[in-house]
Parts: sequence; structure tokens; C-alpha cells
Amino acid sequence: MTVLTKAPPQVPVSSTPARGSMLATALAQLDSACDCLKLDDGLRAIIRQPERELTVAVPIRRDDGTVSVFTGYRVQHSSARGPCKGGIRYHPRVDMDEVRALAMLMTLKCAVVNLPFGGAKGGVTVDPALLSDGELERLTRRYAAMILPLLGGKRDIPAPDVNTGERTMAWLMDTISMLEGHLVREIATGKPIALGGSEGRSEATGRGVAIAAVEMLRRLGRDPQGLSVAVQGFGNVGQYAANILAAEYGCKVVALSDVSDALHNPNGLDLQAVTAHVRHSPGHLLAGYGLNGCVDHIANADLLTLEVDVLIPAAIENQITAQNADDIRAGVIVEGANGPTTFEADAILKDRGITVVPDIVANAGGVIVSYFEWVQDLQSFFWGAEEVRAQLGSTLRRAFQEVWAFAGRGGYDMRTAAYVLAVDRVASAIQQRGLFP
Amino acid sequence: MTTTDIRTKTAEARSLQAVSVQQVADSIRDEALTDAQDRYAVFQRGSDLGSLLRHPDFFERLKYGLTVGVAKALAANDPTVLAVYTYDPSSNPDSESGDTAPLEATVHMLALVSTPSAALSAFIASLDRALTASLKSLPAPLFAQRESVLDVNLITEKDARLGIGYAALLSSLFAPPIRVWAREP
Repeated sequence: MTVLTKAPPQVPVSSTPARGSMLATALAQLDSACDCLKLDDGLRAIIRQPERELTVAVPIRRDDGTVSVFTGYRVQHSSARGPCKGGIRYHPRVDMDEVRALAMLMTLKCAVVNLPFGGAKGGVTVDPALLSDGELERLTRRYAAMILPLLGGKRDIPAPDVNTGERTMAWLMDTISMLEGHLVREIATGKPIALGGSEGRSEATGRGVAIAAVEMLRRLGRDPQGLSVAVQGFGNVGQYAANILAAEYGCKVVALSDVSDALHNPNGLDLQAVTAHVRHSPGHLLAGYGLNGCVDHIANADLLTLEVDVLIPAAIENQITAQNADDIRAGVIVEGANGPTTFEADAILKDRGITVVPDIVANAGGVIVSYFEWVQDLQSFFWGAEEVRAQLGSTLRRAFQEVWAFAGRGGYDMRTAAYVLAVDRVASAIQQRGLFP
Repeated sequence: MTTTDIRTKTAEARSLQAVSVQQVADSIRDEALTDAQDRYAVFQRGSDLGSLLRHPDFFERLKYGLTVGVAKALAANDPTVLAVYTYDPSSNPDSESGDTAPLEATVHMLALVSTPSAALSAFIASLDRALTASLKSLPAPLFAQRESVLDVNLITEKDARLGIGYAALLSSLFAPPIRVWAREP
């Protein structure tokens, strides 16, 4: 077989397809919550608008000696409840509207689990894959210096997000530390452990998902012991959630999937064997497991419609849609991923009486441990994994109970309750602080 | 294999217009390695290839280079390919705490096509086999036992417009893909 090696002309890779306005969607969610609370117009106007926005030029010297200028953003949506908290993303699609929407969601996410944080987000419009490591470091350091007027351990604390990670946070922290003249660990979270990162972060989100699932089952009067669970997405979150539900709560995990395969055994999968296979297989994938016939290999889409007690979509967005929501046979859905259920599907599930633990609560384990990192950095007193685990459990259980109780009092479903409670907390903080001056 | 060897082979490969799939795969591998070494942190460039391949940042750079090479090969051989994206399925839901996922050798891609075809699927399968074989020659345990490294999902403009299946990722807020190649209109 012969093939051609010369690709046809292409457009610049930095452009991306147009999308609907995420900000409009986020504002619509906010307005809906404000309507439930009958918030007065003044308070609503304060919450709808970010407190502070900064657009910066980020010039860097490229490896070939030329200069490129990128655009960076930092938006602080609200500091009513505490320092602003939110990640920094590097992506060619980043723009001010996206950052505004994400900053608002961070305010609500922190508020719903009652962390003493407001919300923020930042980003640079750049395709990081096109920069060398040296260029990425210079970009990060210059961006950090440009947004420094907004940052501070008691003002605004960045974290990793899309295409950034612990290395990015280490560069950011080092830059601020050099400029301040002393080490400021608390300036960012998601750092390497050697630089003040927290123990327990690997399992944080997955453990949170497991706790949320168990809390919901118990409130529905069901003992988790022996209940069947299907997990879509066997990455970090799915792995920890499945293993914790099985090992600590006695659930029977009957189905798992990732991009390579979907496994099903109505009698329960051998999770230890599956996890060992994934961890030790070269690609960290399910593919290749169960070739001896110990499991059924099903289509990934069919996992979502299995008759199980708990379904955990822990992969990507928009998996439960208007097309398959009528076929979902799980009693409880616990959203491990962000946005796995579309708006239309959510309405269908609600009509069918299927309980959904929303992403804003179910996958908050990551931001909670991020908060713990900040607390440890401020105190220069570092916890062991057990302490992190215990604190995560108590924080999330308390948050779940508060959302549950709020839902009961207001007659809301869990998702609406979570958003309304979050807005209520932010509104109350603004109201009680009063308007300066 | 040294950096000089790779550069020489890459230059040779560029001069070819019509070659075997295995040669294309080897060329994609070599160009990706060269690019990763060029872009990698100066401090660690002197390390041997085995050490470099164990480093997450280098490994991710190699994977990106493979993505670019595969995208160009798909575009060169099938006029229905309109754009190619890469995405990281592990980036959702929450990176606030900075957790890093274990290294994963699969190259996840979305190929936007005017019409999906069996011919394109067959070419992808063929390229996957060749690239997998090519990568096995690298001193990287992650590639050693692989039977496949490419996860290419074909999506159409209609899928993208309606947000169906993997095409919904194009408008993802939490795990947005990056476009690595797009045909000129």
C-alpha cells in the first residue's frame, strides 16, 4: 500500500469552531437561581457582574529570537465569601466570555460546598503544544507578573486548569516569590508536593464522587452494601470512585468503560484485577482485560442504559442526552464528570423520577482538597493522607446534607437546590457585608 | 538512535512523495521525536531517549507530535478530512488540585470529515498498526506491548452542529480539544 506524505494546505491551527455563548448559559443558570430566591434587582446585578477583570498582553521571546505577544485574562467574579479561587487555562479558544463564565461557576462551586472562597478564572489564548518548554515557562512567568496586581494568598489564588498543571503552578509561585522576596506557597494550589502541594489529591475527586453516591443512597433509604454500580470512564476519577464504593461501602461494580472497551458482569467485576490490569497495562486502558470470557464486552453507549442502582458518568460532557435519557434505567446518577447530562436530558430524568447528584456537588472533591492545600500552606503545617481523607469526608458530607436539606425545604431537585443554595450564600455574604462605601 | 540519526531520517522522509504506510509511520515517529527534543526543557535535553520518554512533559510532547503527523497523513490521503483535533479524555472534571494522570500512550483524536468512509477507516487502521510497530522500537515500556496507539473518532459537520457523540467535545467547556490541522477552505 502506498500513501501520500504531503498534506494539503491548511489554515492556521489557532482558530477554532464557533460555539454558543457559555457566558449566556451561565448567566441563565444564575438568573434562574436568583428567580427562585426572589433576589432584588440590586443584589442580582452585583452577582451577575464580575468584580474585576484584567486583560493583559503577554509578550515572550521565542527560541528563535523573535517576539510573540499573547493575550491573557484574569477575572475575579466574587470575593464576597473569601479570596477568589480558580484555575488558569492555556488554550487557543480562551476569551474573556469563557473566562467570565468559568469564574462565575467557580464562585458557585466553592459556595455550594461552603468553602471560604469566591470565584475566579484566568487564561491565556495560546496553543501550548506549539511552544517549547522554555517558551511556556517564559509565558507563565510573564503572565504571572502581569496579573500579579490581582493575586495574593488572601486575594486571588490560581490553580491548574486545561493544559496547565503542577509545573505551571511551580513557575507561577516561583515568579511571585522572586518578586516578593520570599516564598509564598499560598499564592497557588495544585503545586508539586515538594513545593507545598497536598497529599491525597490523586483520590480526592473520585473519593468525593463515592461519598456523594453513598450519601444519596442512604437518604433514599438504601444500604449501599450489594447495590449495583456502573461507571463510565475508568480514568482517575472513575477508578477511585469504583474502588472506594466497592472496598469501603460494599457496592457491586457491575460495569466499567473507557475509550478502549466496556466491561459488564452482572455478578460484579473483579475490581482488584481490573485495576491491576489498567495500572500495569502499557496504555493504562481496559482493552485486553477479560479475554478469557470472565466478562461481557459491551458497547460504551450500552453501559449508560444498564439496569443498575447507581450510574456514574465520569468521562466527558454530554453523555446523557435527549436521545438516551428515556433509556436510562439507573435509579441514581452521580455526575463524576462536569456536564455529563444535557439540559434536555436533565428534564427527562427529572420527569422519570431518576435522582441526579449534580456535578457541582459530586465532583467537588478536587476543589475541596485544593482548599486544604491553601490552608496547609498558610499554616506551614502539612497533613498526612489520612487527615486529608478525613477532612474531605466531613466537608463533603456536611455540604451534601446542606444541599439535601435545602432541596427538601424548597421542593427543589438536587441540581436546582445546589445552584440556589450557592447563590443564596453569595447573596447573603454581599448583603451582610453591606455596600462599600 | 541519536538525534542526528533522527534528523537525517526525517529529512530523507520529507523528500518522499509516495511511500509505504510503514515508512510514513516511521517518519511520523521520527519527526515527533525531533520536535519533542527541540521543544523540551534545555536542562534535560542531554538525557538519553529512554530517560526522556519516562518524563511526562517529554512524553506528552511526543504524543502531540504524533498527532500532528497522523493528522497530516490523514489529510494527505483522504480529501474528506476537513480538520483534525486532539483531546485529553482525562482532563474532565477537575484539575484544581493539580493531580496528574499516569502516562497514557493512546493518541486521542477527532477527525472532522465531510463523509465517513470505510476507506478512511481502513487507512487509519493500517496507519495505527504501522505506527504501533514503529513506536515499539523506542525504549519506552508504554509502547512495548501495545497493539494499538491511535484512537481516531470520525465526526461529521452535522454531528458537530448537533453536538452528537464525540463531536460534542468540540464545544466542550471542560475538556476542549485542540485543532492540529484544518484544510484551507
